Amino acid sequence: MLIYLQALDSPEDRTRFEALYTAYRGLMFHVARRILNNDQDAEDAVHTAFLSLAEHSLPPELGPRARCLAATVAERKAIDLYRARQRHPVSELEEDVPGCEGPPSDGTLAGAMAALPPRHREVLLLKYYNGYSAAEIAGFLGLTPENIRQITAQAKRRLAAELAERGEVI
Amino acid sequence: MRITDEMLCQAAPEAAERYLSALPDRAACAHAFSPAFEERMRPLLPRRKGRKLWKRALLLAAVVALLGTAVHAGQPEDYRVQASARDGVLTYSARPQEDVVPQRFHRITMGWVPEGYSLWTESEPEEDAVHFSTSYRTEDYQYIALRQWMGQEYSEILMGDYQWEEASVQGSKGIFIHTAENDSYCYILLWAEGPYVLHLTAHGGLDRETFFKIADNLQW
Repeated sequence: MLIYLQALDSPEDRTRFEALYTAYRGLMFHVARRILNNDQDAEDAVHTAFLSLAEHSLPPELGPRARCLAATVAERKAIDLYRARQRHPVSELEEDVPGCEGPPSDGTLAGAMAALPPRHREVLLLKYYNGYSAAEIAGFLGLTPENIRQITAQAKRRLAAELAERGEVI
Repeated sequence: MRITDEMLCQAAPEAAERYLSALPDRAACAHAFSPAFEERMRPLLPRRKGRKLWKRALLLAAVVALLGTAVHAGQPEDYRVQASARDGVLTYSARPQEDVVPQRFHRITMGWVPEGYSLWTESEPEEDAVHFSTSYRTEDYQYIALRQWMGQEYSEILMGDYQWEEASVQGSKGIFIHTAENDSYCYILLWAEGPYVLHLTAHGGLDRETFFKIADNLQW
């Protein structure tokens, strides 16, 4: 607890955190609830997500990037909790975790990115949309920077394969 | 076929838009969080107490509204604003009195900010809100923040290099604190106005007179 309290020691960080909390906690609950299907578990996931957010640099203002960050971290914490509570954890990419399906791909690169399995989508969005480094993403998602680099490479290969299969020329 | 970083950077905004547009809007995400959750979040948020008092106040407001009775404006003495220093530790607080009259929450904003500051963050409207915050900043991250809440106690502890004094903001008693750390400094002003507690902070870039001018020009 001392660590994350220290992380919010700066008034600027506290203001950012409070703004994020006020604006997106409902959204984060919704994201977690549709995966976990239980209010208490969803609140646990949201709380864990805010602990992660409190430890890292947050977007300077509310908007799509902050919303993306909040939803992504809440989704990750909910999936982690979901997996922890399964007797037989699902595959690494959690493609069969209910409630976290992305919008269907339309064959474009953007569409294919949005439709990736959660782990791939989360990493790509935090890296290429939010602009976080591998170390920062690792902190948000509870992984190591090396994990993030591996997942990024896997996601790129997957996107390339998917678009090639659809006949897209890049 | 190879997916490059540049391609992903270009596609990411649209991918994010697609992902976010599949999520519900704010109104559809309303959820009354449990007291246990609120309790766990408390260490991460500014100290506020008096939840039970606020619940009673909300209930009273509902009863008053049902009876069609007008709710009069709160009085300046709705809160007790005070500070005390001991052994280098400053404690300052705004505590609601027992007879705080519930109100419909109206946002208070900054009616005037110095040149060079632009809106940075602002709480989104919520139907049952009892809290509002807004902040402005300059390009080099000097900023001013105003927080406003109703029916809740605020208490804070400060250590280090600070000076404090009682102050008056538009006739209301308040606490003015000046803190300094390394090359930066911070002004804090805590006071109550009717049913609201107001907390104004400024980090760098302002003199005391300008800071109080912001407080004196809040927009109701």
